[in-house]
Amino acid sequence: MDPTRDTAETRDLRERARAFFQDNRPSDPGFKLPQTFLEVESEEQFLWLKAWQKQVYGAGLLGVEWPAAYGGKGMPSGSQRVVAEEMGRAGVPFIVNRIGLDWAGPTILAVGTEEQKQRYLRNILSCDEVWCQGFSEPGAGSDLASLRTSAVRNGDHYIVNGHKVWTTQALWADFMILLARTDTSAPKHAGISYFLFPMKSKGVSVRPLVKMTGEGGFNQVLFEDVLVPASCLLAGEGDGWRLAVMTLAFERGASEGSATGGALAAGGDVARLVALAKEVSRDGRPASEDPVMRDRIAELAIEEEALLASALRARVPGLVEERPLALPFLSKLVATEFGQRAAAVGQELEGPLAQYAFGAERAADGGHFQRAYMNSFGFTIGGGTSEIQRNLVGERILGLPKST
Amino acid sequence: MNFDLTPDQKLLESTMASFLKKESPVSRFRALREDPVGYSKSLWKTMAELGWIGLAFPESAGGLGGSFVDVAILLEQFGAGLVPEPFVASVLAAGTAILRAGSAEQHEAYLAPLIAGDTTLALAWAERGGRYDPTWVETTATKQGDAYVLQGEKIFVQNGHAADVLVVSARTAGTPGDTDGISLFVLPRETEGLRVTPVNTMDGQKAATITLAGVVVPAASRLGPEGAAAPVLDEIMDLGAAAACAEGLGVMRASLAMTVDYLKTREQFGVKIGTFQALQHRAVDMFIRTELAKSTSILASVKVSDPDPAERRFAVSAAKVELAICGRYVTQQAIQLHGGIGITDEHDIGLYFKRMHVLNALFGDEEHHLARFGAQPAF
Ligand SMILES: Cc1cc2nc3c(=O)[nH]c(=O)nc-3n(C[C@H](O)[C@H](O)[C@H](O)COP(=O)(O)OP(=O)(O)OC[C@H]3O[C@@H](n4cnc5c(N)ncnc54)[C@H](O)[C@@H]3O)c2cc1C
Repeated sequence: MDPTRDTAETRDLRERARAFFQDNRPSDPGFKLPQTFLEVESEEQFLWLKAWQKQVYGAGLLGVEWPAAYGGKGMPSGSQRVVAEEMGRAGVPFIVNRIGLDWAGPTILAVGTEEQKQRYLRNILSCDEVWCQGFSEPGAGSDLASLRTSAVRNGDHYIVNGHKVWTTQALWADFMILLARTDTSAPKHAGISYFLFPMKSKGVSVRPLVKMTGEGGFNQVLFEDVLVPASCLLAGEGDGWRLAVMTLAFERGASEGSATGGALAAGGDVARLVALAKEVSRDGRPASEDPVMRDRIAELAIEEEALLASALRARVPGLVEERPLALPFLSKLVATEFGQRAAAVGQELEGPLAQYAFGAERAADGGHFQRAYMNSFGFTIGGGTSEIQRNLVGERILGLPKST
Repeated sequence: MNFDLTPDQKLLESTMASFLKKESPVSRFRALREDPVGYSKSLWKTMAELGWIGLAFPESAGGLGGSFVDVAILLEQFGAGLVPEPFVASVLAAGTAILRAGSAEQHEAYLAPLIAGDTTLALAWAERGGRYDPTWVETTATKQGDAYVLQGEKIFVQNGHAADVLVVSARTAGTPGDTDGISLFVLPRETEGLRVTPVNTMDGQKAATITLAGVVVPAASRLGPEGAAAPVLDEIMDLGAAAACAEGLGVMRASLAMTVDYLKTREQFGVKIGTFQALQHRAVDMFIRTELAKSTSILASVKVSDPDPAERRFAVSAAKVELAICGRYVTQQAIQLHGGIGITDEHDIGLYFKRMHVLNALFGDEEHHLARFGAQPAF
C-alpha cells in the first residue's frame, strides 16, 4: 500500500496536467487578480477568470470524474485531485466557478433529473453559466434551518420573497442554489425546499458588500415577488434540508465528487513562506537565516505534511475503516485554520513590511500574506464556522451527546 | 510594586476616556481613512490645550512632567477608540529625540510649538535593510563646510506624510550596524531635496517613504554631538514598543467588550450565542489574555523609564511579545466570534483587528523581541 504513488491512469493525467500548466501559464493580466474565488470583485477579474476556466476545461482537465454524458471524462474518483495538485504546484490562477463545480454540480449529479443534468452540468464545467449559493440569511447563519426566505407555489410557478446575505459571486451568477421555505407550518427542517434559481429573474437585486481588506466578493441578495417556474425545484418540495446537508458535505470536502478536486489538495503555503523568507531581509541578511523563523516554518512544513498525508489517507477506505468520515470531515476545519496560521507567520516574516496595505508598491510578495491573513477568516467562518465543524465532529464522529 | 493608579491618574483616565468618547468615536476614524492627512489638526490642538502633549515632557522643556505611566493611560484610550492623532510619532519618537539630544534653543524652536499643538513631528529612522535595527543606517550625512549633505532613504516614517518637521538619522561615520557614527538632524518639511511619498498601511492609517537626494542642512540643525545618537534611538525604540503595548491593550479591551456584547445579543438556534459553552470559554480565554497583556504592559510602562537599559529591555521585550501573542489571539477570536459580519468593512471589529496587526509590526515584532529577550545575559 502506498497512497502517494500514482496509478497508471493518474500518472498519465498528471503528466498531461503538468505539461498543460507549464505550457499555458497565463501571463500577467495587468490588473490585480483575487487570491481565491471568494474575492472576485470586478467584472474584469471575473471575465478573465472565466476565460481561464474555459481553457482548462478545453484541455480536458476539469470535471474529469463526471460522466462523459454531462461533459466529464468518467475517470475514477481521485483523478481530479491529481489535476488540483498540479495546479497548486504550477501556481496558476484558481478556477472561478467553484460553487457550480463543487457545490451545485455534485448535488445536481446526485439527485437531479436527467433533464436537469443535461441542462446545467456541461455549462458549469465550461463556465458558460456561473453559480452562487443562497443559503445564509441575516438571521440564519450557523442555524441555517431557521431561514425565512419564502417560496410560495402559484400554479406552475413559485413566488420568492426574502433576503440572503454573504452570497459569494452573486454579482456574476446566472444561477443560485437557493434554500427557501415552502411550508411555514411544518417543523423548521421539514419546510425547506431547494431551488435551481435563475438569478436574472425580475425582482432580484444584488448589493455588493465590502470586506475588511477593502475587497468585494460577497453580496446581499434581495427577492421581491420573484416569479420562477416550478421546474426549478430540485427533488421534491420539503427535501431542501436533506439536499442542503449534501451540498455542505461537498462544500466542506467530506464527500467525493467535486469537479475541482477540493481546496486542500495542493498545499503550497509553506513553499511560499520559504520563498518569502529568502526575499525579506533582517539586519542585512535573509530572514531565512534567522533561527526563530526557521523553526516556525519547519513546524508548519511538518504540519502541512501531516495534513497532506491525512488527505491521502482519507481517500483510501481501508485506512479510515473505523471512522470513514473522520478525515474528510476534518479537512475543512484543519486546513482553514492551518492556512490562517501560515498566513500569520508570513506576516511575521515580513516584519515591518507587514504594515503595508496590500497593493502598496513595496509590499513583500505583492502583499500576498496580508491579504491571505485577513481573508483567511472567510474560510474559518464561511461554509460553516470552525465552531460548527467541531460540534459536528464531536457529535457525528466521536459520538458525543448532542448539545441543545 | 504598586499596580494601582494614583487618584490623579484615575482622574486623568476618566477625563481622557470621556473626552475621546465624545470627540473621537470610531466613526471619526472611519471617515478619516479617506483623508490625505488621516487625523485632525484641530483635535490635536485641543489635545495640547488639555495638556496631553505636554504630559510627556519635563517642566524644564515646557511640559507638565508626567510619567510614562500617564502617557500609557492616554495611549490605552487611543487604542480603545482608534484615535489616529500622531502622538507616538510626534511626541515619543521625534519629541524624545529632540528632548534628549537637542540644545535649549532647539527645545524652544521645536518642542514649544509641539507642546502648544501647533505642529506635528516625525522621526525617520527605519531603513529597508534594517528591519527593526535603528543602527542599520545606510543614509549618509557628509560634512561640507558648515553644512551636511544627506543622501538616502527612510521607510515607514510614521506621520512622515503630514509632519511639519522631520528628525532624520544619518551616518556621519562607520557602516550600517555600527553603534557609533549615527547623527540626528532636524529638517523642516519644505527642505529642498526631501521627497515625501505617502504610503497606506494595513489599518487605514498612513506613513511615508522619505527620500533624501542631496539634501543640504546647516550644521546647526544637528541634534547633539556628531555620531552619538544611537543610545537615544535605542531608548526611543523601547518607548515606541511600550507605547504599542499600551495602545494595544486598549485595542484588546475594546475587542473583548464588543465581542462579549455580541455574544449577549446575537441569536442562533433560538438562543443567545453566548449560551454556547464553546464560545463562553473562548471569551474567557480572550479575557485572560487581555489581562496578561495588561500586566506586562504595566510593567513595561514603569520600567521603560529605568536608567538601566537592561531592565528596560527586559520588561519591554516581554510586554511586546505578550502583546503579539495575546493581541493576535484576542482580535482573531473577536472576528471569528462575530461570524460573517466580522469580516466586513462595515463592522468596526475589523478596524481593531487591523490596528493590532500594525501595532505588532511596529517597534519590533514578536520575533524581534523574542530574540532580544533570549539574548539577555540571564540566559
Ligand atoms: C467570505 C464568506 C463567504 C460566504 N459565502 C457564502 C455564500 O456564498 N453563500 C452562503 O449561503 N453563505 C455564505 N457565507 C456565510 C457563512 O456560511 C456564514 O457566515 C456562516 O455559516 C456563519 O453564520 P453567521 O455569519 O450568521 O454567524 P453566526 O451563526 O451568527 O455565528 C457567530 C458565532 O457564533 C458561533 N456559533 C453559532 N452557533 C454555535 C454553536 N451552536 N456552537 C458554538 N458556536 C456557535 C459561530 O461559530 C460564530 O463564531 C459566507 C461567509 C463568509 C465569511
